[in-house]
Amino acid sequence: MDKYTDEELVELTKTGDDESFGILTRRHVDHIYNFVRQYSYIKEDADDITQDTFLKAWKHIKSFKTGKKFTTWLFTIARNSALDHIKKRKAFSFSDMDSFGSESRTSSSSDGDKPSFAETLKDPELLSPEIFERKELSKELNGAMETLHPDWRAVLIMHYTDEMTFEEIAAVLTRPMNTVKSWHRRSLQKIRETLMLHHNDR
Amino acid sequence: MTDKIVLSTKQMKQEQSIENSYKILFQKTAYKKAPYYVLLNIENSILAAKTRHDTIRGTSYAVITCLTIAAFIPAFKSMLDAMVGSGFTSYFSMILTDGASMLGSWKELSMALIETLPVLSIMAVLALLIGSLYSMSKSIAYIRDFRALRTH
Repeated sequence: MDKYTDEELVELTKTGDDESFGILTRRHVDHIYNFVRQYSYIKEDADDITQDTFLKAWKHIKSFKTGKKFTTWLFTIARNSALDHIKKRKAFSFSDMDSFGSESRTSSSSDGDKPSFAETLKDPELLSPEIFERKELSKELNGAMETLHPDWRAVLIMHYTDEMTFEEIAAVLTRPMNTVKSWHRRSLQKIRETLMLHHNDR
Repeated sequence: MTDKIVLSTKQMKQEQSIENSYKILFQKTAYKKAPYYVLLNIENSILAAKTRHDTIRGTSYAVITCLTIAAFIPAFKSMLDAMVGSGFTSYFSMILTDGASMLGSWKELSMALIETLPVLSIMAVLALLIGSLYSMSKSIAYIRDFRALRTH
């Protein structure tokens, strides 16, 4: 059963084979948990959101369209569940969320010779090797991630730990690809600045 | 031209290196694995949802079975009354009592039987019969699944 792709397992689940869904759950539970833990930043919520995500996926498995990518669909459910939990806790001001995308929407690469906003941002820089030798790197990184907007964190987690493309991430976050790329660059800049600040303080 | 190709290869290697360094950073330091009980909770919640779903479906089909069986009896009686009233039973009994002499006028007899057949009543009885058998089979299947889930 482990040799089946996610999409094949989904088709088997639709016919009533619950074991296939069990395999899908075991395959993706760590990725989803990591994603929601980083997104919501509250450990107690992460357990509930992860459980919620897989329960919703099981209930609505018949609505999954053949030909689409299962991980994109699953991450979309996870993100929406996490967003609902955050809204309940009223941890963030959601008026800020729209403004994060606006600079990408005002100029796009289709506007003649004008570069898109993502293209005007500085390229991400290489991390200094000394950073990796620090014992408290994990703590510093978590601290730096905590200062980012949930969707910015989501971009980093999905791209670097789950190895999703920007196109897939844009589909999960229901944002244009330019917005996702600009969030990616800006969040890396912020992470790097925070880590370098800790490095220089020593 | 060669310099440009060398530069773009160098640029690609640098971008790959930047990409890898951040990948290592996030995968080695920021990654949080799910505790063992999360998977257990997911499996339990799905099992509970499936049990609930099967109970509702099984009960619904059991109720439909009872209703169709209850409706079958008066429908069957009504069909028999319609057969008597239209004369179908009279013509049919002629075949049984005087079959040999009826062979000569089999065409007229066949037409009479077809004309007096209470079609609507028969269709209603058949629909109730098929409905009750179908809902009974579904109900039994759900009960079997429910028992299997309980022992699992």
